[in-house]
Amino acid sequence: MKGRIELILGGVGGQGILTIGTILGEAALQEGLFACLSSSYGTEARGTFTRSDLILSEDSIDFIEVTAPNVVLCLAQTACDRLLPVLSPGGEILFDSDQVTAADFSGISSKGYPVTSMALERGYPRGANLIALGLLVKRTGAVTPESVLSVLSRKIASRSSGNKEPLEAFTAGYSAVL
Amino acid sequence: METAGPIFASGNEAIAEGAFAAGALFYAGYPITPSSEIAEIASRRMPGLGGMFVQMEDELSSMAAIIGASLAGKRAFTATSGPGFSLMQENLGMAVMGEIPCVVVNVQRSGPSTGMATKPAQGDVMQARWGTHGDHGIITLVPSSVQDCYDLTIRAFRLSEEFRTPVILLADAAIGKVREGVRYYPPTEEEKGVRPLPDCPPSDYRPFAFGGATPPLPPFGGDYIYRITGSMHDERGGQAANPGTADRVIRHLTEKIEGKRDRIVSVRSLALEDAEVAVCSFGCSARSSKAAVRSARNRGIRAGLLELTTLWPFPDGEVRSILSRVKAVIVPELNLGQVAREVERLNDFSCTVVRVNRVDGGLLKPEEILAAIEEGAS
Amino acid sequence: MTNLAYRDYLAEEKLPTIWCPGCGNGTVLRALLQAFAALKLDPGKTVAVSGIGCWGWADDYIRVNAFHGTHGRALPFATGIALANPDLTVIALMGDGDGATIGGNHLIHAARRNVNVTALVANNFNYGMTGGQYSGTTPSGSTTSTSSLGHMEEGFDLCSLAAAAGAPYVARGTVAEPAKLARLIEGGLARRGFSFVEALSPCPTHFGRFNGAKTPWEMLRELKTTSLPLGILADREKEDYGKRYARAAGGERKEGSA
Repeated sequence: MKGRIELILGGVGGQGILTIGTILGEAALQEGLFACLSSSYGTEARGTFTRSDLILSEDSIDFIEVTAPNVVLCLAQTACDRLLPVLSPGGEILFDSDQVTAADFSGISSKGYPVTSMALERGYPRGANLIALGLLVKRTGAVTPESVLSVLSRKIASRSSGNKEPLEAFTAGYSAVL
Repeated sequence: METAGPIFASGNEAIAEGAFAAGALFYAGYPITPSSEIAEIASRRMPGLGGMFVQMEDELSSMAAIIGASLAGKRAFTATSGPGFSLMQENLGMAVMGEIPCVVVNVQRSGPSTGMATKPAQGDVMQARWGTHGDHGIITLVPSSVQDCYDLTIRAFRLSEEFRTPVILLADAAIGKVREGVRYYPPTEEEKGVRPLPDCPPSDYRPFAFGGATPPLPPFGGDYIYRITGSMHDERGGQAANPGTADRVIRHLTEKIEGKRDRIVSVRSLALEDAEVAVCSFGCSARSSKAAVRSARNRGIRAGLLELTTLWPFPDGEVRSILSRVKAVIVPELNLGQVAREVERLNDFSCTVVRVNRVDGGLLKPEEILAAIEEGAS
Repeated sequence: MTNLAYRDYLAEEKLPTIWCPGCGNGTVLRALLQAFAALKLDPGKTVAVSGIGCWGWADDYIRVNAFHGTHGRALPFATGIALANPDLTVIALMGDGDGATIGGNHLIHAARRNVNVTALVANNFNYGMTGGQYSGTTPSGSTTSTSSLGHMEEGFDLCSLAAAAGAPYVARGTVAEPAKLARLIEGGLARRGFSFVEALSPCPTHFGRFNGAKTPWEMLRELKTTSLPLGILADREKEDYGKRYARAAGGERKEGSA
């Protein structure tokens, strides 16, 4: 990646928004980039709106929040409702079309994918966030898929189960973007 | 823990790792948002380090327990946020008066009282300085990045041992929770500092001295039998509530820190050499300020940044120096002017001091600071 | 191990104490030092942690390591010391203000946590040092400088409280029977884990004067016939926090290295 990319990752608590932000950040560090992930959150409860701001840059990062997002990811209707107004000109909304069903995208660059159904079809409902990560990486080119796979492999290796589902989910998301 | 390349970690994680790297072997605390991660990490890591973790019934007792552990010879720390920091003031004073090294991390959140638990603020600047009653010196360091969290925690432990005093690491919710690249390294012996042992015969040992060097503090359990007290005391730690002693003790508690500010105070400068407008900030607001200063420079405004990584003792000399040579000093902070008032106190130069404040739980946006810079430059 | 007489633990150069004539604290102090001597405690390996109030001065008269802390917090200071160095004998010296009132929460949690600390509460049923205000143990109906109508609240039965909170060793004695009191303290110090010993002690200057101008002698006689149960009230084996932590941590380290 050249220059700087700003992403906002929106969803609800329990979807693993922070997890994919962390994976992207780790992948970026591996590529020698700077990364900064900040989150705003409410009380520690599942199901409430969460937002993570991720900045990836060739240069060091001063202000820690996103000011002009290149891409806003929305994995829940409430996230879309709240984040649509912060989209900057030229920015793009990437959303889970199973979750975000009522939004006016007129005049906005937007792209929806059935992330939830894709995860269910794989028999891996918890992997929706990783499918979304695949979409995000393909559409932004923020980091290479190899970096993400290497981060994911490292995380899997540190767990006892060691299954390959996360890698496959990411790859499925990555491949879904043509 | 040592890492080859940078790892992606939160400020809270880096604070905990910094403490372990500095040799901390005792953690006592009461969980509170947004600092609880530090307690959780200490709980997981202490057993493997041969250390001890205990979750106490409140912050009064957490502060007391780390004081006790420090006297028993362990490097000890606790972490909290505003409401807990308020409760710790009682025994923070005990650590000041008893001259007991320990590190207190305050990951600031919006207040007063319960306020907004998850939202960042910088409203505990004065609480860190004067929260416990009575005159005394205090050391307070402020990180503005995850790397700072690691580095300054190590420094906090060293300063606490060198000056036999509690040291406050005044972080904030934004820096405690943000994830960035950080490099963990094993600190050198000098960076860690050591707690010196007395070399006099036990019968000659005095735990206190007023004026001159503060005596070493041997751990309880060795050959040196002594008394530590929070009451007014003589050199032996005996009760001594008389005017002469009180005067010497209180002046000593202030002077041992204020008189050595050269060894404590640290600041960072960005583009100050030719600056006509200076921004003076700290912690998360220094990050916003940095972005604003860069934007200003891009617009041809000669702006610079003085970042205070030590808040107490306040960097009087450094702040005076910018006040004496710029048109305006902008002071962005997430409170209503706690540091700005310190800057104004030093303003013998008719410099314009502009406050930029935010207290709604959000971070200062670089644009807000940039607007103040532009106004200051005009 | 040492072979010291109780007087060897006493900082005689500091005498006379600040305590009033007829006060029970001197007797509690002697019982404590007798317990030290009976157990041959090494002064270098012993730490007395005191709170605030008349009894808070006790550590000033003892030749062991001492920590004179803030009001009510003797137990948390002692907790830190004991957990950081399990080889120390740590005794927390508290009055009823420290132990039952401002520090009451620390008492129940220290008992529940079962740290290796002996708590010795000298209970004189009021705040003696500051003019005789009521405390958490002041009996209902009694007069103090802040209960002129007669005390409206019930006082704590501290031993029942400590036992219910899980303290392995709980005992109550009085300064009317000082030899017994010394043995109860010795029992607490000898048992690893949290021990709670309450010493009932007269405050003729305030509590006595406010409640019928009783003489110290009358107050002692009353203590002997107290309705509160005396003697050892709980005595049970429980692994203390430090040992349990070390055992669990040792297991984890072993697993980690395998």
